[in-house]
Amino acid sequence: MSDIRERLNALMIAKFDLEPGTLADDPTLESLDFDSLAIVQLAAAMEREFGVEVDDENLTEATTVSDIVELLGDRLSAAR
Amino acid sequence: MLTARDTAAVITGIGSALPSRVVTNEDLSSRLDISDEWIRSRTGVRARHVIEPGMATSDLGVAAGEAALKSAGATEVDAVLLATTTPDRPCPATAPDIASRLGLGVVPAFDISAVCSGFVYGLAVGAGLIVGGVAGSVLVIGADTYSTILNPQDSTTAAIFGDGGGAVVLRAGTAGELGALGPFDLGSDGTLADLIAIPAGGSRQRSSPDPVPDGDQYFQMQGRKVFKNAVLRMADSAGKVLARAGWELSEVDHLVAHQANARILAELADQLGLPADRVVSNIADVGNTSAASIPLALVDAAQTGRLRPGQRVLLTAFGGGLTWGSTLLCWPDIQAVSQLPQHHEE
Repeated sequence: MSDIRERLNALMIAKFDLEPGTLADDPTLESLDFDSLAIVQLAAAMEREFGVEVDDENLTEATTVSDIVELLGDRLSAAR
Repeated sequence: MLTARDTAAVITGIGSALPSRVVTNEDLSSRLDISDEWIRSRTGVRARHVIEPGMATSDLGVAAGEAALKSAGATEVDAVLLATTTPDRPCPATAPDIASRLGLGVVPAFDISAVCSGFVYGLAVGAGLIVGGVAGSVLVIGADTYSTILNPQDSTTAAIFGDGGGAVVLRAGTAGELGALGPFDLGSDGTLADLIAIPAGGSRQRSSPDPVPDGDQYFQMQGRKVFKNAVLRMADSAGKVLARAGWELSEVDHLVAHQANARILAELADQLGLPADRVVSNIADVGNTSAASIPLALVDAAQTGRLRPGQRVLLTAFGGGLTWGSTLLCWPDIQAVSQLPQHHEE
């Protein structure tokens, strides 16, 4: 899981130009100023990075970074 | 003698027409509860051109068509195609009226309904007429007046769309010369027809005894799903034409995609792995003009000196239907012409 979190952090920081460290306190997507289109962009970027299908309907403004790590963990183990 | 294999449709002129009336984000924010910042961050649009009451899509089509003919130095063509979502009337097509008003006589003329992919579909149909030997030259116009179909209460679509027209003249030429179009990739997915639609006004609603639900007479769009499909379909289609032509992505000088939304353009470039500086965008000044967006972006890039003869250009579009399509060309040595649309007295 820590590997998934590191890759996700790196992806989010690079793609959305976030300050390194902003993801440390497990923020919600809303507190990171993500709107609905940014959520679609994040889902698409995660699909490319992790090679699993991520339905953006599973992500909302209330979703936290830990929630996403868990979601990716489920998808990755299901894909194995 | 050219064989069908070597024959290609070649762009020999390009023109554009934008209504003089400009609606800024500030103008919209006073009417709808949205700010300039909200519009810019979500769409990249700062202003859009809108027709005056009484004008119609044909007025933009005539002006853009005339500009393209001037650019090509042509006074006649063998066919006129109009890509539009907003014809002057549900019946008949608007293209014959445009052809007559341009003084082009009794040439074949018809409309193409592929929403925001209409211009690329029009190029493909025009190229087909030329390569098939049906026509030696074709005027392909993309013109739309979304201001006539937007829901005045829908801040999302009001923020994005604008009116405009653009056109090119195609002539028979040889594959490999500057301006030659192709290969093409076109596609559609009717299972997602509801993502972009005007629900009422067609036969399904008219044959129903029930009254039209409020808002169904207007253009409707499911933004989030459209965003995702637009990026995936344009990236896939662009990849296909590049592979067929044997071009590397790194050889593409300009990506001129349908100007749907600045964030779709950025995401598309990201998905393709194309540097952002190769993406042509004029959406900030004109908004999403549907079938007119690609020729308007090409004219803008040509007139600002960004787009130069010989450069490799990738065109890709996505729209309601769903529909999508892509093609390639090396930019020809032509002078783009812009004209103001005029009111037409019936």
